[in-house]
Amino acid sequence: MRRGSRWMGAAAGILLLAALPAAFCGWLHPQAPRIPMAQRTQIGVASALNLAGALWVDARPQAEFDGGHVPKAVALPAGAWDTQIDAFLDLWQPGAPIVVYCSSKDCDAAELVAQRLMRELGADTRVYILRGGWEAWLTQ
Amino acid sequence: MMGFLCRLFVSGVFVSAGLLKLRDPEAFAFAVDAYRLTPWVVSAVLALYLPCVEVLAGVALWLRPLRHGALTILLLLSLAFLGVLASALARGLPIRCGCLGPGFIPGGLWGSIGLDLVLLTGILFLLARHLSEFSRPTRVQRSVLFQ
Repeated sequence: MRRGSRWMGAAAGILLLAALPAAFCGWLHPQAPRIPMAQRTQIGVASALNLAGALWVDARPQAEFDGGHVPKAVALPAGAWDTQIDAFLDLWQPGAPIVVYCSSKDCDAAELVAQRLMRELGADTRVYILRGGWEAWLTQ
Repeated sequence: MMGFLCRLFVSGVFVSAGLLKLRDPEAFAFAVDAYRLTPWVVSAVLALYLPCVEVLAGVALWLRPLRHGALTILLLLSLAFLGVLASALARGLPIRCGCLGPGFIPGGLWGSIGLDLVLLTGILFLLARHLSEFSRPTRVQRSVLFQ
């Protein structure tokens, strides 16, 4: 019984101790994930259409993309990043602005994809989130 | 000797996996998020916390008083990883495991499940050895028994 409580104590001790370096890492690590994720600049449909040479990125699941999307948009759902990123890179001209959208104003997929694009392409890349997402595009 | 080699393998894999992930926690947070099981905040916290647990538990395997606790944590971690990988396979998610951070595991998700099963076998072997050592009477108990 005493041995049982001793190893439970050891396991709990290791789990508690791990919180310390994790907290330091979150605080000091230059590559620590941002919590909450920093908000990207939002852009309306009309302004987005005026962006010269912008590449539109659809962050919705593939099935929704297949059901309809912004003309010339490229599908890049967060869950299929590894398989879709090459198609995106084939179309994107370095320096060109990127407009990311998901299904509506309540979805967070566009934010996630935008965050990752900024990270992979450089913090100075112009990445915008389409305000209202696909719903806003349909009602324009 | 067998126990030593097994401990070296299990400890080596977990410590190196944890350190590799800690080099770029944000990349690991994206890998966790790609499983679509947790919201972003939870993925980000897990990306910071899990590698630290892996490293500490891997090191604790070499400290006798902490060994049983470390093995329990590693067993639970391996079972959880197995469940998460299986769910990703069942849902057909086109993702990489992320188990070794930027490290590459051949064979995709199936390869990762294979590695996890090998680790699980090693952990169970070490746990069985440790428990059998525990069930043996200590020197003090033997001296009391045979008095």
